[in-house]
Amino acid sequence: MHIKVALVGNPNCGKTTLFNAYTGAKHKVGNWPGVTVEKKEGLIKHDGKNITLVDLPGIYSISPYSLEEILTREYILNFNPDVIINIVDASNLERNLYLTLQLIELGHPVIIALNMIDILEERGISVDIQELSRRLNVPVVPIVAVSKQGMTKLLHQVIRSSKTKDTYVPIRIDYGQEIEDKIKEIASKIQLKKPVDDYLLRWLSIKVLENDREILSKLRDESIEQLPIDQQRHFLEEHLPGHQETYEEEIGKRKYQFIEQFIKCVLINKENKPREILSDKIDAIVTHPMLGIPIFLLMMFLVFTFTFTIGNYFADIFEGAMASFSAFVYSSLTKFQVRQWLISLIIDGIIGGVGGILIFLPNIAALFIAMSLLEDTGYMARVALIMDKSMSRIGLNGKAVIPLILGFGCTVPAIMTTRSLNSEKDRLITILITPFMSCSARFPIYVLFSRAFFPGNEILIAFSLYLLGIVIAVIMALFFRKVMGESQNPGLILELPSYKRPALKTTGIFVWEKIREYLERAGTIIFIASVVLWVVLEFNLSGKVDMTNSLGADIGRVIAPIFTPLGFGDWQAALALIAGVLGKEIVVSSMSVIYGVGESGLYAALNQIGFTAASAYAFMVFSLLYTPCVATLGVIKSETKSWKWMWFSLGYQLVVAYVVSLVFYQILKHF
Amino acid sequence: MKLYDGKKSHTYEVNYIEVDPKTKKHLQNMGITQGVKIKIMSQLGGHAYVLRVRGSRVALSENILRQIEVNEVTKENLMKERKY
Repeated sequence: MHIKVALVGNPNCGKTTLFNAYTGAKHKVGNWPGVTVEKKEGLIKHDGKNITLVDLPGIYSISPYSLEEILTREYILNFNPDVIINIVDASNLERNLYLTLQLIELGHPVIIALNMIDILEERGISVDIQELSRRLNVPVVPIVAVSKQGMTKLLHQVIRSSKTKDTYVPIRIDYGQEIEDKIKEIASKIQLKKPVDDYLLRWLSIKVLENDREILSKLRDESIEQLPIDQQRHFLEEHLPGHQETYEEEIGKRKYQFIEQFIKCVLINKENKPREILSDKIDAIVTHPMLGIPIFLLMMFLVFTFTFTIGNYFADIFEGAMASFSAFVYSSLTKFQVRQWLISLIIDGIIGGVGGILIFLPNIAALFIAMSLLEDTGYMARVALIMDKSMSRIGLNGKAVIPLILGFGCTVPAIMTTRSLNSEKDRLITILITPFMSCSARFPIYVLFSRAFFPGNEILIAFSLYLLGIVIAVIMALFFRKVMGESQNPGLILELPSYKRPALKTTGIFVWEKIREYLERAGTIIFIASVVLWVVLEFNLSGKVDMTNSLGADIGRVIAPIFTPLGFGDWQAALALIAGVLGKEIVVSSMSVIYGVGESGLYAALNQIGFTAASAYAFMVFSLLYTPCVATLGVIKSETKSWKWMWFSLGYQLVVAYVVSLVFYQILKHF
Repeated sequence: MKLYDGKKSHTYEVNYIEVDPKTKKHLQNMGITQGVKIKIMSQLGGHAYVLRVRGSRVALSENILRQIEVNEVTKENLMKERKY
């Protein structure tokens, strides 16, 4: 027997922690809305039963107002899970139960996994679990996801509940005479091709009454007759007789009232302690009207200092190791009289190209550690609040700052988090400007060039490029806002989760994931790119030739003249930039392959082909701003659901990069 | 009065919410509905407030705060309610 289980819960309720605990930690937990951007599946065995766990995005409700909510609802309706585990944050019980009531209404067996009771007990409050279970007529299993308590009990309950799928009787919320009459009226008119049970029918009727567009169009497709739907369209505007509220509002309000009725019997305040002081005290400082922004800037400064100092310390060790390794391989290969071309492929192509990237692993790990801490503590949500006013000056919502900050790590997941933005226009603008935030793949380029041309000032140079990326993003946001018109910015609505001590394990899992991704990239795309580059640099169509006559050089030469006004109109730079579209760190691996030298020799080599400090800086500016890498283009395509915006990003960033880089070179060359 | 005109540490009861349906639904999901009691936890220089509502902490920006019509809940009323 196979049991399908959906994990559903509010953002920050510990859902992903629970999923990780069951499935062995395949992805990370975040502390702001929209972390679980895709549903994840995990298979577990318990008592001889196969259980498929599906982790759905964190949602507050299953109304059709955000992508995540629609995704979750579609999953439940289409895949018909045997059991829904609703993870409920006990320290935020009243609001969390609003979602619970909606899940119960769907008619599937629901289990409440009551998480974070420990936090509640620290505040001197206990939960009457039996009472909660009795009031909602669903089993309640207390768990502590972080320390894996209650996990086995929960699985036992899953198996027990899965057997009740056909007999389960969900509680029925009384919406009052008027609404109940309406529900009955609508239910009598819905006639579907595939008959549904009474609970689903009631649920569908409630949705029609709430004027739920998604459900209305679904019913239109599946109804036997084009019946009641069109005539119910006006429900949203229609007010309840004698009330100020619409049906939708009243139905929501009734759900909350239902919770209010029993919440005081379930939460028992033993000591009458104030509710929660620590988070409020921290908030008083970090969201202070005057101090908030300086503290945020200080945080970002610390993130980068950490990345540079700690990262560079280990990167130096890595670099030394890599050089010794390369020398060792070279001497061994020579000893065994391996053919010269193969030695060249291994040393220049593979070790040069892939190794040139691997030495930056410590910096990237350090950056992701810092980012992960910002998220897991709950500070990231505060950043959205602190920056809301500044962001509104460029016409965006405070929440848009989160993808932008995550963009310093990797643009791909950053663009996915734009799903939490409510306005489509804002979301598009954020997607278009996020690639300007200097991602970790661009960092090796800065290090390589600033070591060669600005020794001693590497950090300053790198910092200036990060800043430039932000400035360009701001300018472009203002530009897009002008072109696309003012947003219907509905304003900021944001939950501020309680601060949490970051769990070492969570951070570890997240950083390890990132390191693994990086290693995988190094082993796949960067490896292949390095080998291909080596081939095109060693050969042309007539056979093996000198590098300057190679196919690669010819390709580079075709477009190199375009870059002459920017100061780097030679084929090497041009070829590196073309290859860099695959992934920006490949700019560095191509350089290593081309010159077949460690970074120390690169200055001389670059100098020889005419690079100066000015053109090196212009090259870095261009690398920062030009066409996003293929992975980013892919995510832009999938998130905007349009090829148009993908091609647009590709083109406009090229133009922006060219213009800005040109300006920098033309000014800097006079110094 | 509007929630925007509220004072820090004071509690208010929501009378009426004037926002568009989508925003209204969003507010409802965060627990902000007609009749609910909201305590203002902090005010960020007038452009956003941090509120406590139904046991959770929610931040709203100025434009939304100006569209929520509230009544102040006096301390005496609060105390009275707690007794029952």
